[in-house]
This record gives sequence, C-alpha cells and structure tokens, in this order.
Amino acid sequence: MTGRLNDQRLWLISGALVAALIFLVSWLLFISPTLSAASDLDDQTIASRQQNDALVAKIKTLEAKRAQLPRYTSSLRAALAAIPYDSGLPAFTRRLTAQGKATGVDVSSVVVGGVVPIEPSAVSSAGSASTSESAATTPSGGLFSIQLTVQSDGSLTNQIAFLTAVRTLGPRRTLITAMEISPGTGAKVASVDGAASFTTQLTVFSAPQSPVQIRQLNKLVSGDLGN
Amino acid sequence: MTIELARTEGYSPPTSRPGWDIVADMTPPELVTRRRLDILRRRIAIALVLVVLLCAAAFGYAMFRHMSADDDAAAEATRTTSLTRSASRFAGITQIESTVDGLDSKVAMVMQTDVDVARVIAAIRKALPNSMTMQSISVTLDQGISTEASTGVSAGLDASGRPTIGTVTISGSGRGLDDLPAFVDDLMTVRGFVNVLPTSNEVSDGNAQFNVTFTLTDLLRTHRFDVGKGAR
Repeated sequence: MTGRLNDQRLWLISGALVAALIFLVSWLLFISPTLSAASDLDDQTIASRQQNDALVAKIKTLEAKRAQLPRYTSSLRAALAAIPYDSGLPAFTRRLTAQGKATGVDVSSVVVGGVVPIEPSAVSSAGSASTSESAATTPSGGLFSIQLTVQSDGSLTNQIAFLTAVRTLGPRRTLITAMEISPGTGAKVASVDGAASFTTQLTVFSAPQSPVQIRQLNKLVSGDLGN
Repeated sequence: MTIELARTEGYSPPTSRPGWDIVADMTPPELVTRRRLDILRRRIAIALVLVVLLCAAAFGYAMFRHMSADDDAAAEATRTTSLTRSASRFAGITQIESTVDGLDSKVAMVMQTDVDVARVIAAIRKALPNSMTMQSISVTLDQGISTEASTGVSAGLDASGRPTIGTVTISGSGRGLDDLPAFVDDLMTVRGFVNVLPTSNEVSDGNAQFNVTFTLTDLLRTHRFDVGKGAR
C-alpha cells in the first residue's frame, strides 16, 4: 500500500516538475525574448512618432516661412551687403560719393590702407590701436578688415550728416576709427564751422566665400531655393 | 480450495436471474494498482500536453504582439522618411536663415566697438560757446576695450571707473581766457567724456588760443549691432 502511494506521489511530483520545466524553458527562450523585442519596438515607435510630430511642426513653420520668401531673400541681400564676400570697394566707393552728394559733401579721396584677417580675440584685446597692428593668426571664419582713408569737404553740419549716413544707412557696415577735422579749403576763417575738411579712417569688412558657396548664395538671393 | 458460504436467514434468491446476486472481486491488488497508475500517468500526460499547448499559445500571442509592433515601427519609419523628404524641400530657407544669422553674428562681433562719432562731434559743437571757434578736432578710437582706467597725466582725475575707448584733441580760439572754462564745463557734462583738460589757454594778439583734450569712455559705444538688436 505504501509502495503504491509512493509511486503515485513520485509520478505526481515528476509531472509537476516537468510541467514547470516546460513552462520555464518556453518563457525564458521563446516568450520573454519575443515580448521584450515587441516592447522595444513599441518604444521605438513612440520615439519615431514624437520625431514625426516635431517634423510636421517644423514643416508647417518652414511652409509659413517659404510664403515670406521675399522677406528672407531681402534679409540675405542686406546681410551680404553689410559684409560682402569680396572687397566690395567699387560699390562702397560709389555709395560714399552718392551719400556725399545727398548730404552736400564733396568726397575727394578714398585710399585703401590694407586688408587684414581678423582674429576673434583681436577685437576685444586691451589697448589695441587698430586691427592692423595685431598679430592676426587664424581669421574668424574667414573674416577680413579693410582700412580706408576718406577725404571729404563740406560744412561741419553736412559732414556730420555724411558720417551718420555712412555709419547708419550702410548698407556696408563701417567702423570709424579716427578723424581729423580742419578748416576746409574754401574756409574764409580759421574755423571748422564753415567749410570743414574731414580726414576719416574707416574700416569695412569682408567674409570671402568659395566659388561654390557664392553660386549657392546668388541662387538663394534670387529666390531660387532649388525645390 | 473449497469455500462454503452460509446462506443467510430469510434470504430468498431472486427467481428471475438466479446466481447474479453473488459478487466477489477476484482482481489481484497489483493489477488494481497498475491500472490506477496508468490512469494517473494518462492524466499527467494530458496535463503536460495542456501545459505545452498553453506555452505555445503564449508564444503565439508574443509573436502576434511582435509582428504588430514591427508593423507600427515600420509605418512610423516610412512616415519619417516621407516627412524628412518633405522638409528637405525647404533646405533653401534654412540655409538663408543660417547664412543671415552667421553674418549677423559677424557684424555684431566686428561692430561691437562702434561709436557714433558724428554725435560726438555734434556734442562738442553744441558745447562750444558762441565766442569761440574750433580750428581742428582730432578723434582717435581704440579698437579694443581697455580693461584699465585711463593712463597718463590725467589718470587720477577720472573717477568714473569706465574703460576708455579713445581720445579727442581740440584746438581753437576765443575772445579771452574766460571763454575756455565755459567750454570745458560744458564738455564735462557730456556723457562719455572724461578727463577733460584744457592743456593750454593763452592770449595772443587779442585772441585766446586753446587746446583741450579729453578721453572717451565705453558709454559712447552704441551696441547698435549687438545680436538681437536687429539693426544689421
């Protein structure tokens, strides 16, 4: 009797163990890895969905900007005029004489001093008299300064208006670094109030670009986005 | 072996099926045990098959979840590709923006020492008394920012503590010696003018010739082209 009970108990325990083993093996080797991979894919899907939502918002913003393309090309044109990719001196000289005429000032001389690469620290270094004196090493993103000396004649009031126009109307960004004011050639008295002669040291800037970049910029300026 | 069975009293055998009421289980116990064990083994086998089927069903569900998640991920990846392609149509706008921002940063950097020199000249002219004239004005601006207070003879007179950025020298004439003090007083009230010194003031042939120098501080920097100011 006891032997029979032992046999039955043995079979029951063995059966339970085999069932547990089957379940454990199935879970560890097949079910859990598959569910884990599915969970990873779910996380990946959520991340992709968030990325796509951001892309949709970005595209909407870009579409709105594209609708204002003339404003953007105008901004680009102004930015390139402020710091052109070439010397820009012919256009700058024409601009100076035009602004001189507009303010009643006679621009009699424009002399180019030198072209100097700009180092970022040179602009903020203590006590530096001019960028031409700094030992420039690596230019900042290909930025160069061009020193000019401009001779102009006119009344003090007109000369002040001329300087203001050069500085603020641009479009070339111009830094005034020094100025000598003396009575003009037509002055009847030794005073700068009447006819004044201005010798102004100016600095303008250029950011040279490669031919490929220039072609691309010209396309963008013309509104050709290549779409 | 002979077995005698005593008939119980009052017992009367059924007349329809004589001999059927006499039952004796002659099965050996070993056979009974073996049969019970067989039944148990059969039941355990069925249970094990059920466990296997359950595991298979669970695995099937896991595979279904995986396929479904894979499809969703693939759909989102396709959508990403499509949206990225759409966004690339606007690369030109992005390039315009980045070019403009880059140039604006360069402008802000090179123009951080910008001074409204015309305004300086206008302030000097406004401070000049009517009895005086200027024969020359010289303005020199530093392109860096001095971190020290002004140096030179007048260093001790500048209590503003502001960095200096340039110097102005004026020469002119007036009717008398008293003209220059008024000019100097007015110049000292101009924001950004420090160390205003009348370096010479002498009467000659009825006219007073003077020289004045002063220093300009960083208060005169316009910061007009700083990033965010929008004045390209």
